[in-house]
Amino acid sequence: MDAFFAIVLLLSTLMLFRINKVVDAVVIIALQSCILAIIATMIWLETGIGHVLLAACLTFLIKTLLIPAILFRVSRGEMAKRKIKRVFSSHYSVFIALVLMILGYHVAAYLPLAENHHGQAYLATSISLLLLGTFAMIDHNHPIMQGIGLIVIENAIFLIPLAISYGMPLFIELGIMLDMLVAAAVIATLTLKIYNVFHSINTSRMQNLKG
Amino acid sequence: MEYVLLLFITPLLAIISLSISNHVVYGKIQAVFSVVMFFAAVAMAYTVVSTGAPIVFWDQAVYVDGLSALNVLLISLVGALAAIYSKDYMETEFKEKLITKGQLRFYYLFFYLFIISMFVASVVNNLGLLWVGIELTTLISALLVAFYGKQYALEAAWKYLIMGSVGISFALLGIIFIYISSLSIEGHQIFALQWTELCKVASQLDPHWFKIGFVLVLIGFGTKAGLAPMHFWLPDAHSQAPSPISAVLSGVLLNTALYGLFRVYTIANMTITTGVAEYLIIFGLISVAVTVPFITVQSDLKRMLAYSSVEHMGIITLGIGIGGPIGIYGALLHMFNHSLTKSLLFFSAGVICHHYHTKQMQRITGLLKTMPIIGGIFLLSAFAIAGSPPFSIFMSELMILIAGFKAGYLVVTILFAVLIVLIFAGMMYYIVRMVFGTASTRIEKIKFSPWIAFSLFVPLTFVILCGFHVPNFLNELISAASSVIQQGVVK
Repeated sequence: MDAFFAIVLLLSTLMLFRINKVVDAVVIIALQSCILAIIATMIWLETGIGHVLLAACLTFLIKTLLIPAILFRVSRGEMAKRKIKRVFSSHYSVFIALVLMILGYHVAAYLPLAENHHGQAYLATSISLLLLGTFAMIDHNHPIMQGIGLIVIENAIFLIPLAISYGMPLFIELGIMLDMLVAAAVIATLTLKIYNVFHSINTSRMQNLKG
Repeated sequence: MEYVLLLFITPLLAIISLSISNHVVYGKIQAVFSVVMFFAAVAMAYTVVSTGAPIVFWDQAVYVDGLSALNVLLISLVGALAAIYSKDYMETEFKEKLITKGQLRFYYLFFYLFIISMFVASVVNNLGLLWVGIELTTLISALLVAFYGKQYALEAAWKYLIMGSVGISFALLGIIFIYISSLSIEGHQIFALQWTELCKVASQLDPHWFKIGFVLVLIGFGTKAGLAPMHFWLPDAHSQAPSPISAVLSGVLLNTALYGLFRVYTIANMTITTGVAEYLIIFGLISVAVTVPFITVQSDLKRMLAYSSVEHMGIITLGIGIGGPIGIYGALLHMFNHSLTKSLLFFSAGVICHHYHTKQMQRITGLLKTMPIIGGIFLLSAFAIAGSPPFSIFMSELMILIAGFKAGYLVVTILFAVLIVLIFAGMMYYIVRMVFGTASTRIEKIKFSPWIAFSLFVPLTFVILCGFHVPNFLNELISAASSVIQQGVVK
């Protein structure tokens, strides 16, 4: 089961480099977060540790419902019609992403693994997701897509302690989720402002401050 | 405990007062609240210094030792000065119709939220919550950087938000690795990531995981503190924000990120016995070196000041890395000196840029003739920030140099000395041209507001005074803070 979820997580992230509309990326993020919530629930079923279930519920509420809802509202309308522009072409992007994925698995092999069996499956996935998220931010010029890259990174970071030690202490998890929510709101606000001022949503136009 | 609570209640009250008061009196009310906040911080720091023990409550969730107290004191001091300065600065913008009533309220609301988030980061005992606090400062201050809503401001804010958030995600990953390094210890989950507990069990932590964790935290919080080569967002963000916000960003937000880094560094020194300090020395030295070309070819006044912040964060990091009682004391004193000098510079730069309607240094000339007092203060503080005697920054830089020679870092220290001389020359070239030179006839003489005068003369007093003698209270506070970095939990 772990392997299945890991594959879905990785494939869905790869899709970020194929899609044409921002709205699709928001759906992908919602799907990813939903899978994280399911993984947490399964770990709860297995171990019975209460705070993992709470973390699962919070993930579902904040990352699967609230954050995509905020991003969805912003990327509707005018912006939804435009095609996503990338620094590299779609094919090259996917290729680079694949290379990064292999690199992630390679790096993970060098990390001292805990004896816990979930760790085996997810540590490599997390590190790959981390690299893919970073690449997604570099590759896209759309502010919302850069925000989505950030969420992929955060999801990867959420998965690591979940897999290795059944999650972080709850109040830290709570704080991180709160930060994510605020981050989504700030990204949305700034995106709207950028759109109004620049009449464009291409961050590559924002290259005036140098030196 | 009462003082710590008061510290949080006052800015909250200030925020509440926004909704019930008229915009005409915003500035005055906010200034009063900020002064109360400052005195709460002084009382708190005094308690820590006089009892010699940290303030701990709520089941060890809040933990204020010398290092926290120093940082909180600096935040509240620069915060209070910025609030007092904002009164006339923002009112002028309002009168010139540059901002609306709503924006004025937004400004004060986010100003205090920003201060609160820095307080949170400084007083929590838990590395996870420390991270949450620092990430919050990024999110809140990004909106303040975007305050004017113009193209440049939005570009700067976006760059800041993205680079800050990605950088800080790495810090979170680092903190998670530190958490993993404590997993093998019995009963770890109860005290997970509590700084005091990690200090106690430091020698039992898994050094392999901890080292990766430390490097990630260094990159993450280093990005936030503007250490090179992760500093690209800093000159943009600090130059585009309103001047009082620039002062808070440069003066104390960078310190708060370093504060987080030093907390982890303290434990790293106990867990990994060798080679940790070198990381700080390298990053510190690179940060000082990188600023040399950027300062010497700069045309924008506020950008030059921002690059100077990169330099000084490098110096502080270098001082901590060199270590030893003198090095750490010097670095922390430098933190204090830099905060006050840099906010003084941003405050005077704010008045100058308002008056000349430009930030371009070549269009600002004859400051001593058009505004003799501000021009004079600007000249003094520029000399101070560039490290010339007899000002305070010269003293702390000298301490770091002495510590460097004493610790045997000969090449590093000589390189450091050469670099600060180069930066001094680069800055002075522009400053002298701005302060002296013929004044443009179009610039009329300035009326000097008492609010702005107050927020300029207070830091100026410290900048000059600390060059000769560090006040007793400050001396004890910095000593307490440096023993925290050296020993961890003070027994």
